[in-house]
Order: sequence, then structure tokens, then C-alpha cells
Amino acid sequence: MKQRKSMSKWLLSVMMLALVLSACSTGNNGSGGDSPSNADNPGAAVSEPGDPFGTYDPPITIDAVRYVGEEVKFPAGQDIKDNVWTELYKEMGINLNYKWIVTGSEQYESKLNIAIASNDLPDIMQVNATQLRQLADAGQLEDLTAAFDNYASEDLKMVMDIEKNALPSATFDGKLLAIPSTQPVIGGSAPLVWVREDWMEKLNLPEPSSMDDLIAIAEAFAKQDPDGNGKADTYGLALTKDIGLNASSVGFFNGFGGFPQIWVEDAAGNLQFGSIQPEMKEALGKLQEMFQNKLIDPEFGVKDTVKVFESVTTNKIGMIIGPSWYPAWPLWDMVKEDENVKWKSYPVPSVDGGAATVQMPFAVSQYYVVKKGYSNPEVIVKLANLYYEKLYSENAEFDKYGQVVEGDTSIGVNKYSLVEVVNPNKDLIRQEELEKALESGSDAEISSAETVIMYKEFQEYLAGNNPLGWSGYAANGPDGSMKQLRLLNDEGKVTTNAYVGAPTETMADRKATLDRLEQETFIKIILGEASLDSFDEFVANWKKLGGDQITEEVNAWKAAR
Amino acid sequence: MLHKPSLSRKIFLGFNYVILIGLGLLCFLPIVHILAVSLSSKWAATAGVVKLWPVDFTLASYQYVLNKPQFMVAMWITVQRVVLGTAISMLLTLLIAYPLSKEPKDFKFRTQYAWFFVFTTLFSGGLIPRYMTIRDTGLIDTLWALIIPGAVAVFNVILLLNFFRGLPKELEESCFIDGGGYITSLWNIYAPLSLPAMATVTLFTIVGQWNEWFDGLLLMNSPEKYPLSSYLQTIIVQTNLTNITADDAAALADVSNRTFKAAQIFIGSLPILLLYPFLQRFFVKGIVLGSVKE
Repeated sequence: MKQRKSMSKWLLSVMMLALVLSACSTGNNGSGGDSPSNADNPGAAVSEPGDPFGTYDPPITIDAVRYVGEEVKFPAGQDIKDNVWTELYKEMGINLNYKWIVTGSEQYESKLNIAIASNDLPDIMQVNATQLRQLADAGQLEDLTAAFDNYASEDLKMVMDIEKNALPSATFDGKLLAIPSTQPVIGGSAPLVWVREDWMEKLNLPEPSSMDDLIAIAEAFAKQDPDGNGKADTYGLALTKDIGLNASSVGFFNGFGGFPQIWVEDAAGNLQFGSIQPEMKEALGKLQEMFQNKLIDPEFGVKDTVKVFESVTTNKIGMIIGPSWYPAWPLWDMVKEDENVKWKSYPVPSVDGGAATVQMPFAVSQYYVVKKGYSNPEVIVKLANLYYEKLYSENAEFDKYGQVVEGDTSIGVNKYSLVEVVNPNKDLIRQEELEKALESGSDAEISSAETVIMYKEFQEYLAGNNPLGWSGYAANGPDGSMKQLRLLNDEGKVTTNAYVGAPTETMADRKATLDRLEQETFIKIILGEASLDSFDEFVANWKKLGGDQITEEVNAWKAAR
Repeated sequence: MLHKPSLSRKIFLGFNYVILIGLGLLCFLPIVHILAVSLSSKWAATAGVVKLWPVDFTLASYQYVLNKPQFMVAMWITVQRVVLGTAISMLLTLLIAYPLSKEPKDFKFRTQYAWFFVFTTLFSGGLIPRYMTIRDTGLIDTLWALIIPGAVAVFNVILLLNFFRGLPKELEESCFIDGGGYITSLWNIYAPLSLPAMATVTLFTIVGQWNEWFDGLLLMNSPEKYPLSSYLQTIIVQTNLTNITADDAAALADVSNRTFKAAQIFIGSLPILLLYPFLQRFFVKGIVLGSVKE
């Protein structure tokens, strides 16, 4: 009895000690850390227009962090800390000091979250929209408005002009807090229908010019034994488990006029969430029917993109909706093994015939920011200038900073740059220039060294010397997938997320839950475990569980612009 | 006279064997499958035709892995952390378990010390405070960050402590009569007698050190310093394909090679697989002894 009492006393005191200790450490963390640099006068150096490519003398050293994609390769003797780009930075008087480096963007995101939480920020870093919002709200970012105005090169301004929403999405209370990393998302994400042309010919099927045609092709592929092995082991349409997130289903919804996971403008000019619109219900009904009809792999609910690629390359599925780059992966894996395999892309058809409007994400998902109090915030603008200058401008040295050939592998050294700002229309421009060059037989009109390399590959491929060129040609050739996207884009049939701000307060709170609800409902409907009418229930729940509030916030954001 | 098993016993044994063999296969077949994939051609692996026997037998993926510096570097780091980590952890475990196994009359604050250790198993500072502590102590980005923070495994201490308590006190008294102190008693009496329990704890520690991947990702500042399991995690986790551009696609196709991944997973698990048979006899005996003599 006595012992137990003294034990509990001890326990209590140990717990109190722990509390006191933890309180101490939080106190420390709030006031300590990086106070010395806060004393500097921020922004003093950037108040006047300066040379966008000016050299620092004496050189400056910047703390940075980064990730390296798993696929990134290095020529002999170079690594991420010592390569052509770091050399270039050094020539400009910029010494990069990497505080840490990780492999892969997912690891980067979580490691950066820890750095933010423990107040261990580098001078410059890449962040996603959520992290940008978080850091901006906490007042931890340097104002880059003056730095951009005074130091951005003409090319960088031009890129930001092409994607009109890029800079506004990085602007908080009138202050530009980040340089957006624009990317050519149209080639990366906008869906097309990829069909096995050899199966189509064999079964004598017409081109998919409406959604009904597409479903008829799927039915024929599933039921008429297109591979001729006498077994019913094929499916009509590929589908991944991420319904509404992966191109395989997004493209299908687009065909019915549904735009999952993005914000679209309704007739009254208000923004509405695409996933809850009635068009989605119609498309889900069709998918349910197709699933019952065995046109879709019964195991699709557990298959991610790479698994579905495996079904495609093993001749199980003859049609997949996906982005323009599928020839490079996975289709090339098939074509090189079997020359009878033919793949062809078509624009996603609409219900009423003709091409449907397809969706792509916002061109910016990553931002470059400077820590509050860093003395040379304009350096991030200079790095962005430099990226564009060395790769895509008139003074580009693409064969040095973009792509080098070592032995018989070509290495994309452009990936070593800390900052990436790409013309959002790069893919479209490239296709157009290639097509014109093939017509005229001369590369004189081509504006970028990167495209010239591809043009030479095309010539070799067409001469029969470069079978590897197939995938580039299928995507960027005169009848390639990119051409189809370019035509769609010219007709205004490529839409994008109308909401381009950082996640709103309720989004940050609830979006994950709402997304899960959406996923579960959609999958259950397709599997037939829930009736199609449960979609209405989902819409009601979505609104109740914070969706209405998000819609209000999103429209308030729109009104404020 | 031999007892003849009854029918019901036979049925019981039959089921027993079936279930145990089934469980064994559940653990064994995935490893065989990985081995088969690693020995197959890339085409066969992607096509999904490889089950338990290699298709288009080739050693290409092993050639690739053994020529890949990063894999070998990570392997070496893991070997270092396992050897150092296990040695330090075992030493500390012994030094903590021995005094705590004494009665309060021999060791006055025993209960308080015991609570101090148990407390850490119930409450922890959480991820961020842990990270900050390790950063501020300067361990970050060194091999020691993988060893020191987890060096005292309280669960192992309790296991060993209970084993020590089960040993007859008379043995230690004999040591004292011969003029030995506590240290002599620990090294010459307790440690040799508790070899089975220590083998068990050592195995736990080795496997734990070998498998731990998260601390590598968290505490190391560059991929060249990752231990093997952290490195394997980065290659196995699927790249997010939603945000890639057309130009990345071809490069990603290269790294999606399943045979390479399978070969790395298999080589990565081989040393630990080989360790089990050697330590297993201690493992079985140790657990039984520890619990029976309580």
C-alpha cells in the first residue's frame, strides 16, 4: 500500500518533469533558430531594376534542399552536388549548399513538412500549394514582388504571361511570395483514347466518334476474342482504381461532360465542383453497365496505373484512356516486342458525337520560395531566368545544359537545375514546329535546340534506322497524340481547374474526407454494390460535410479577383 | 508399450499439419516469387507470367544490382548499423537489466528507475520533437543517429530482467563469498547463464536494425547515407504518375523495371534470412526458458 502510494507520487513527478522539459523546448524553438538573419534589412538590394543574369561578387552561399527523381541519371564524374548546373551557378557567384537531398518527390514532401514543423527552413526551397499557404500564413516567406519586377528576364515574364493564373496563385495580400513552377501539363495529363488498331482492323470496327462507339468497341474487344486465342480473356476498357483522379476514368467522365476533381464555371458564372455534377452520374451509370457486361477488368478496384499497364502490355486490354506520352510508356514495351501491335490515339469523343472537352490540372503545382529575412531574395528569380535562358531561349545551350549523350544513352541533365520554369505550351509548340519541319524538310524554323534533336530522331526513324523513335513519333509526329491535343486546344476544348488558389481553410480541413467519400461512392457504384441513385446521396453528403462551405470560399476567392 | 493415437487425435494432428504448412507457405511463397521474378527477363516479369519458377532465365538483374554503387553502399551502411547498433544496444540492455532485477532492499530506487524506463514505452515526444532533439544534439546525418536514439529497447530490458530474476540467487551469493563484486557477478555468472535469453534479444535487435527504414529517411541528409531498407523503400514506392510531364515518361519506364526491384529486395533480405537458422535454436529455447522459470 505504502509502496504503491510512493510509486504514484514518483510517476506524477516524472510526468511533471516531462511536461516542464517539453515546455522548455517549445519556448526555445519559438524564439531561437534563425533570429540573426532576421536582423538584416530584407529587400534592400532588390529595390532597383537589376541585371537578370548579374553575377554576385563576392559570391553568395545559399542553403537549399531538393529532391532528385528516381529516374535521374548522371554522366560519369558528375553528381547532384557537382554538375554542369552547379558549375553554371558558381560562375554566377552562387554557391548552393544543400542541407539535405532526398530521392523522389513524395519523400521530399514529407521531409519538408518536418523541416517546416521544426523551424529548420533553408534559404530557398520548392513547396506545394498547401505548404505555400501554410508558410505564407505564418509570415515565413520573403516578399518577391520587387525582386520579380526588377530581375525577371523577358522570357520569364513571357512564360508567366502565357499562364495568366500562375503569378496570382502565388500572390497573398498583394504580395508575390513565390515563383510558380509552370509545367506543360497538357501533354502530361490531358486524356486521349488509345486503341489497339490491329484489333480494330481484325474485328472491322469503326473509329470512336461518340461515346456509344467507344462502348461498342469495348464490347467487341471483350466479347469477340480480338487476340484470337479462343479464350474470353480480354477486356474492353482499362480502368484504374483511382476513379476521377487517373486519366483512364477522367477521360471517360470528360466524354459525358463531367469534370471530376476540378472547379468549373456554371451558366451563372459561379464556380462549381465538377465531381458532384449530374453529368458524372450519367457516366457512372455507363461504367456500371460496362462492368456488369464484363467489359471492365473485375479486379480494377485494386489496380494502380502500373498494374493496368501490365494488363495492357500483356494483350488483355485493347483500349485505355490516357495522356499523350503513353507511347513512351507502356506502349513502346509492346511495340518493340511485336511489330504487329498497333496503337492509335483519338480525341475523347463526346456523348453527342465529335470531340469532347477534356480537362487538365492547373499548370502550377510547385512553387519556389525564399525564407523571410534572406538577404538576396532576387536570387530565386535569377535561377528561374537562367533555367529558361540556357534551355529554351535564343542563347540556349541545350546540348550542354539540357541533354547530353554518353555512349548510347542520352542523359537529361536539365533535371539538375534547382528551379524549373517551363513554357506551359512547350509540348504544343514543339509538335507544331516538328510538323512544319517535316513538311519543309528543314530545321531552320525550329526555335529550340531540344526540338532539333527530336527532329533528327524523326528523320532517322522515318529512314528506318531508329526503331526507338517510334514513341516520339507516335506522340509528336504529324498524326501524333500531341497533334490531336493541339487541335483540341485550338478549338478551346481543353479546360483546366478554374480555382487556382491555395487550398482554402475548409479544404485543408475536409477535402481529404470528401475525396475519400467520393472514391468509395464511385467505386461502389461501378462495382454495382451501390445503386446509381446513391450518387444523389453522395452529393447531399458532400454538401453537408463541408462542400457547401468550400464552394462559398471558392466563389468568394473568385469574387475577390 | 507405445500409446496408440486415437482417431480424434489423428484428425487433430492432420489439421494441425495442414494449417501449419499452410501458414508456412504463406510466408515462404512470396519470397520464392520474388526470387523467380528477379531471375526472369523483364518482359516475362511485366507480363505477369512469372509465378514460382523463373521464365526466360537470366542473371541480368543481379549483374545490374551488383554493379550499382548505391545498393552496395547502402548495404555497407546497414551492416555497420547492425553490428554497432546491436553491440551497443546489448551492452546497455545488460547494464540496465541487471540492477533492475535486484530487490528494492539491494537497490534502493529500483522501482523509480523501473518506472522511468517504463514511462518511455508509454509516452513519446512524437516525431517532430524527436527530430529536433537529434538535430540539436548534432547526431543528424551521421551513422550514430540510427544507433543511439533507439539503443535502449525497454521491451528487451524487461525480457532480460525477468530472465535474471529466474536465476537462483545462491549462484550470485557464491560469487560474493569468493570475493567477487557485482560486476564480476554480472559478467561471470549472469551473462553466461542467460545466453539463450540474450540470443533472443540479439535477434530481435538485429532484425529491428535491419528492417528500420523510416529513421534513415528522416535523419539522413542525402540518399548516399541511407541504410539498405530506406534505400529499398525509395525504389519500391511507386512514383506518383499524376503530375509528370511528357518528357519524364520515357525515363520513368526505365526505372519501373520489376526484375531489378525484385533482385534488390531479394539480396536485401538474404542476410537476415540466413541468420535465422543459426539463432533459431536459441530463439525457441530462450523464450520457453524465460517464461517457465519466471
